[in-house]
Amino acid sequence: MKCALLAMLILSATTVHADPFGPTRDRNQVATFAFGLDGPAHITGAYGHTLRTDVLPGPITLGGQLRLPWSPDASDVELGLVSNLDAPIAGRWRIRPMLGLIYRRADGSLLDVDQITMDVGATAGFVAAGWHAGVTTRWDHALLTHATPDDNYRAMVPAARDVWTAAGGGTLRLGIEGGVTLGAIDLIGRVGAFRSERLAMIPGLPVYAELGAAFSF
Amino acid sequence: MIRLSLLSLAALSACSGLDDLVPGTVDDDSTLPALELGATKLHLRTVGDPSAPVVIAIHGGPGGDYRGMEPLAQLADQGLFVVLWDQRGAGLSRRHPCNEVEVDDYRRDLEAIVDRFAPPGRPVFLVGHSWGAMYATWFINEHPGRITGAVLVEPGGFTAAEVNAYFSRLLGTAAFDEGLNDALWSAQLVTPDDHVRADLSASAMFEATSKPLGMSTTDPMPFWRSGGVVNACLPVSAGAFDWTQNLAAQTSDTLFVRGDRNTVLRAEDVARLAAHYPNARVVTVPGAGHDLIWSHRDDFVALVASYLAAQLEGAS
Repeated sequence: MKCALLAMLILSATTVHADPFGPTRDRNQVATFAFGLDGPAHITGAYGHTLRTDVLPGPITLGGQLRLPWSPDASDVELGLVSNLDAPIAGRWRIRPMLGLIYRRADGSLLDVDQITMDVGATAGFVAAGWHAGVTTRWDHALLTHATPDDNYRAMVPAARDVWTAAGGGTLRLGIEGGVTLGAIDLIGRVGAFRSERLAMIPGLPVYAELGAAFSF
Repeated sequence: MIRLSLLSLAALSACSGLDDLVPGTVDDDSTLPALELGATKLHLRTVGDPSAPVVIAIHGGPGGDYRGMEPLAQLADQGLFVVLWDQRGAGLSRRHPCNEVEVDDYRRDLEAIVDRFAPPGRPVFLVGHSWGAMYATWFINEHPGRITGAVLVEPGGFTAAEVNAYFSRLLGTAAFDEGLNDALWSAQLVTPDDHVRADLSASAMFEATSKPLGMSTTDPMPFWRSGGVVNACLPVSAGAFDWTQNLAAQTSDTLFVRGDRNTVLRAEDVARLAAHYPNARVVTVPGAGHDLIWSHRDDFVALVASYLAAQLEGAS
């Protein structure tokens, strides 16, 4: 039973951080459950509702996501409003641009940081009946950051004070994606490079690797 | 890739939006004690009689600062001349782009400091902490016989293989530690896109390893400001180094100091490092971790003073 639960968790580790929902299926709702590694190890869940209109070139999915570090605590959290559009390029070639507005909080050992970011990305590739593959990218850019030094840091650096800034900062991801479809479930894997938005190395691994599942219903 | 990507830091605006979170460097604050050294400007102060035997403190990191080594200033009361300084690109010293904090820059900086404060014939001792102990060993290996003696506190290793083994042990201990994961989570929010941000990010990562290194939580080792670019770039520029080839020529006693709370640098690891020196002695400070210079400062200063007195007596 434990093994089955573990396997379920691993299989459900999703790609929601790089793309909230995966390829759109012929259903109206999608839920994703995940854990992954891109910088910190994290756990993610997302829910989206798919709309089909005559105005857009393909179905658009709108929803929300919750992302937590693998050892969750109330002070480190990410909440987002996310969307993707599943648009045809030619034949089975498709592109899924995504857009998100994310609130993120980190309670660090020196600073507490609250941040609102804009996330823009796209996944482009070949989508067959039972599988898909492509390249994927995502730019996460801070619109507003509030940093508060904690007491230990203030004790060392008395001049440190609260900062509000819109000066940016952010991350870039560029990778490849592949997946298989099993009924209503898409199992998806991604690997790629992870850098700051100015291509500096971010502490931790310089790559991300994710494996996940999206359930359409 | 690291070097290329961090080279771009040099061209960035000085304003990160987070400047109020860190103290200014010697380029921002003219009241700080400083030394111009070629193209760099170091945060540096000296204590004691300049004609006395010289003790040069070398802080850890790379990218730490000398604030936690200030207890060594007490050695001036023992008739010694103490040099405390922040390394290039670290602490409150001038910031540089990645291609100006390479190993050759660091080698030249320490050579210049030794030559400036300890002309040939004057006894000179190096007291290095962690990376600083590696840096001291590198200097000793490059200049056999130049240094009268050395105190090496918890060095990670003197060859690339030894340092890789050290980081493997550190990551093996910290990989599933909540502190490290929290630091990585924070690193997404303050990405190292300019010096201020890189410095804050490096500080957070240093803090994240304090638990496996057995460091004090009640009396943490203080620092002014980490050097993020140095921390990322210097190790890359070091390549596959071996700083042990000439250590056999260092015939004076070398004192190694370790804390028994550090689970990453165990007694057997320090013994292996000490074996590179022909006349090394290892002292373990009970109840201390990697920050023993600060957490056990009175004991540490007394230990160093005793060692220096014995070496000076032997030399005379």
